[in-house]
Amino acid sequence: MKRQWYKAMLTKGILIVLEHVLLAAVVVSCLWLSAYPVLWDEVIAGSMAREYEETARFRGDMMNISMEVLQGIRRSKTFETDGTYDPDKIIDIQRYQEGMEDFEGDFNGLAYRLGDLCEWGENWIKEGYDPYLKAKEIQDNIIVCKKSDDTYHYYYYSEFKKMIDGGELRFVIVTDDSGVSEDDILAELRDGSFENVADTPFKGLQDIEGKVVYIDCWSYDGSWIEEKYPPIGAGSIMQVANDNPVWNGRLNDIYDMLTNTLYALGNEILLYKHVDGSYQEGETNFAYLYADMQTGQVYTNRREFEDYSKLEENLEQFRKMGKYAIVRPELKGFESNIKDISAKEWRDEVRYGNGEIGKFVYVVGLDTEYPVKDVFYTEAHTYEKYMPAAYGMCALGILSAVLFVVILIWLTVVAGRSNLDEQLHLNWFDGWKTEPAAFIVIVLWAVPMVVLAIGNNDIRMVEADLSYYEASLIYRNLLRAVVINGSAAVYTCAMFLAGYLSLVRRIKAGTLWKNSILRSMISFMRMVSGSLHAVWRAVLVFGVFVAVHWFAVLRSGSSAAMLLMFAGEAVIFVYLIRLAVGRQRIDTGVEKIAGGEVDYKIPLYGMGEEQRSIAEKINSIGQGLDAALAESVKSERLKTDLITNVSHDIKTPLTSIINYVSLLKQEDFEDPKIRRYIEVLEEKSQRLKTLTEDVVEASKVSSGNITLEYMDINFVEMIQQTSGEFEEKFKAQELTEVMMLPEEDVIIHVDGRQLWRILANIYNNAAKYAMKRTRVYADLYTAEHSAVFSLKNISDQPLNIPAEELTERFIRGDISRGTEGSGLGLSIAKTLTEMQGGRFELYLDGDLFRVTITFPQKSL
Amino acid sequence: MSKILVCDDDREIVEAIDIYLTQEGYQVLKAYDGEEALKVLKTQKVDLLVIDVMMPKLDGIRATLKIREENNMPIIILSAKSEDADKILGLNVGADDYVTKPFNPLELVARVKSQLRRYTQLGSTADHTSQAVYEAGGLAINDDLKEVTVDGEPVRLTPIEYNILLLLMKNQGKVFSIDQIYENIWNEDAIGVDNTVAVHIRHIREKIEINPKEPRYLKVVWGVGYKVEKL
Repeated sequence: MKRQWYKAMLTKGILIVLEHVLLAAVVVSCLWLSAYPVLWDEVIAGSMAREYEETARFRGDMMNISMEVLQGIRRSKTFETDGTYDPDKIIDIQRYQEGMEDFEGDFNGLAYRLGDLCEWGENWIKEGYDPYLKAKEIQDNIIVCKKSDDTYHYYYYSEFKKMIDGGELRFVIVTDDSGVSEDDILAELRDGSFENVADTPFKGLQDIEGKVVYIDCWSYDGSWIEEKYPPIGAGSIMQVANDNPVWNGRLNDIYDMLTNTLYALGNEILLYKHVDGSYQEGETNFAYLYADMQTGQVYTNRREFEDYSKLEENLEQFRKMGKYAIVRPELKGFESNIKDISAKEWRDEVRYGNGEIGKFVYVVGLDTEYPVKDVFYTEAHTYEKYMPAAYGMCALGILSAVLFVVILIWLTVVAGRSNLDEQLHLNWFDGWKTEPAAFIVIVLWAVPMVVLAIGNNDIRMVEADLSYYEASLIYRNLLRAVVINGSAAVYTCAMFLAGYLSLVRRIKAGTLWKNSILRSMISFMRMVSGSLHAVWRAVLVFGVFVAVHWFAVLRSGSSAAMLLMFAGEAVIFVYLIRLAVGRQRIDTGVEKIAGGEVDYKIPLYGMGEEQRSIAEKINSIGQGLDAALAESVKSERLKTDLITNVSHDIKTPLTSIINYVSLLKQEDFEDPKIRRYIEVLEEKSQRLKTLTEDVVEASKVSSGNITLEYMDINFVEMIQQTSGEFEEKFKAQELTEVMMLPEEDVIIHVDGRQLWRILANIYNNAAKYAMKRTRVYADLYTAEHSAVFSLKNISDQPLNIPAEELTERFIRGDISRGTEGSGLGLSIAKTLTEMQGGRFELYLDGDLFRVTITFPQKSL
Repeated sequence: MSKILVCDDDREIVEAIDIYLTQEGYQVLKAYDGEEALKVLKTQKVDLLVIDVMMPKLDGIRATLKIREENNMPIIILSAKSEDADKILGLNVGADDYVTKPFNPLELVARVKSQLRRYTQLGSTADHTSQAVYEAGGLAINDDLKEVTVDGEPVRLTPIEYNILLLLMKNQGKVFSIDQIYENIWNEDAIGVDNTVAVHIRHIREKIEINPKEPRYLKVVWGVGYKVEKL
């Protein structure tokens, strides 16, 4: 056999171990690469830059910083006066809010100091202030009072109450039977839920002199914020809303506007401060210059570039820096030495993103000598440090992944195969039902994974609580992460291979679907629906039974329900018992009929309708079988009778033939030819005689038309006797009989005369067909309560037909040979042996011919 | 000269038997059915009857029954019916022998001779002076003279054959196994006995039986042993 090493157990074992190592390698290398985002971006892009300044990340960082700075510059215009932060600027809220260019100054009575607004907004943002939330907490509700000239006055409740109490204001209430009182209105106003409806008795408020001041009042339900700083020229916002005709009645508008302004300014001031602080000269290697060509104003973080008149020389300075970019309103003015930079993106970002419309030049640059140890410096160094190893890691990852897939394919091909044979082998797990097996594998995998993930937030290679990225912090947890993730990968691989290879084997064996619960369910449903006419009764009975029980359970305690339940149980009990008894009866009946007792009748009393019908059918099958059997016995007997009668009719003329041939032989014929003819006649007539006798014999034996008289017989004696009878015949053929008989008696229970016929036929066969001058072996031995006799001889003629055919009637080793045999001997012997409970076997091997007969040995 | 009546509806068979028996010096009468045979018997004295079973008018069995009402001469039934039941029936209704067709004419002649000897010469009242004479039907063994006769005809046996036959004749009806015979005759323990005894028995049968395959005296009890039937 070929040594198919590629599917040997050992090979498979090695491959599986290798898979685990490879997957661990893939995971570790991926984690290592992805831990450092700069490197990861390069890996994703497909080509790794040699230096940090060439990376996509650098390009992005430069752009982001440049745009950030640009926004800072724009803020400077708002916040600065002559290049420095000016908190005393006055900001008009409405103008600022409406996005007007000119918002400095108090235009319509609602303005604040820039410093106040910035501080206010900054605090809001830092504290996460929610003005709407605060509005709900307001204790002192605001009341809106309407004058007859459609102007409004706002009061705080406390203030309003005081005026009512002091008599300065009084409710005008038209008395009627609705029972609305002053106190009710006050209480509702206090709770901020008062709203007047048209036809109430409350008709307004009057002052101390009885003059109606306000025709209506209600609770204010708009926005509100806690005032930290007062507006310029007023004590509070409410004062503005009460006194300033522009703002009268617009308290809600003011609050909304102010809220928006505070947020916007808060964010802007934070950004401004950040840019102003981060990109000071000496803090960074990053340099910028923004020159407004119309005003000649220059914004830069380098003192040396402040002079607008030296703009061209300054630009030249930037060009000498390691990396730079010059952006102008037109694309053609764009210059840069940053790799893969997109001019249009930068220009659009500057022009549209920041609303720079006029003529300008915006230059950024980075000193790649890194005199200042800033973020760029750290980044560049980190990149330089880890970049070379990334090649190795990449290679490791890719190679491992490829190898993993290759081996996986290999394992897929050889799954379930072995080098020992061509069979498909399924293990104990493959025998499980498909769904539970899949579920087990998934659970076994997922549970430890989830536990691991919960227990270790830091499966990434950065610090556990690190929510932001910083170059110097990467790879700090390398060893720990490698161990945790490596083990996770190994475990995942184990589970994956277990599940996957089992799946493959199942598919190969075709058991994936066959062995699934879903299929069982579907086939069950199909069975139910396919034979609905047969099962509807069972379903109905079960349904009623269940319904009765549920009813009883739901109505627990109700005795009627309980009684119903017990009645249901009793009915089902009787039904089940009857079913079981019926089934048992049918089973017995079928067994008896199958066992040959065809006239057996299944008793029908007490059976259900369904089972009764089955039993009746089985009974009629039995009847049919009985009739058929009787018919067949009869026909077999008729056949035997026919053969016997025919043989009688043949025998009579045959007698004459034999007699007259015999008479002819007595005549002294001189002519040798005549003598030869007579010999032929004699021989053939004798043959005809044997044949006739054998045919009758065979037909009798095969129809079972023979009576057996069983008795205890010594098989050894039997063989000796038989051997004695055949001694002469064997001698005539110069055959030597070699007997191997046991010393002790071998007792079997058979019909001695029939056994003689069997042995005589076997011996006769040997005498007739054995090759002359050979030995015939007669062996008798006992084995496991049986007596085995065998007679072996060497055939004279080649036996090129199957052994079974030799015992078929009229077939002989050589059909064309003319001897005295009828060819029925072995057939008769076989039938007789089997009739007596023995076994008759023929064995042919070349010219070796062996007959074996086995009888059960009678235990003494 | 004995008169033998041959009765068979097949004339050729009657003819053939006639030839054989005439050759042996018997006078042969012929009949072709049962009634005819009865008629012949009424008119003539017949020493032996050979009769077929299946015949028109009156079959052999019923004919035999009728004949036996008046006659006691030997009757040999000659029939194509070879079943044991047929033979038993034939012998029970009064036949002395049963020969199946097709038969060997010489065997028939031998049987005829045997039956006639028994009938005419030995009778049933043979007088024996010696105690050492054992008989079974036509088979007799005289141990004093060491002589074996079948129907009065002497038979030559070898000493071992003689001893075996003597043992069986002395114990008629008893079955001797090969081992028992061996131990009795050879006076040795029967260890590893092969077919020697069986061969001797066959030789004896060939000498004393008309048809050794259907022995009358020395019978094989298959798987048990041999015996001489008590007749």
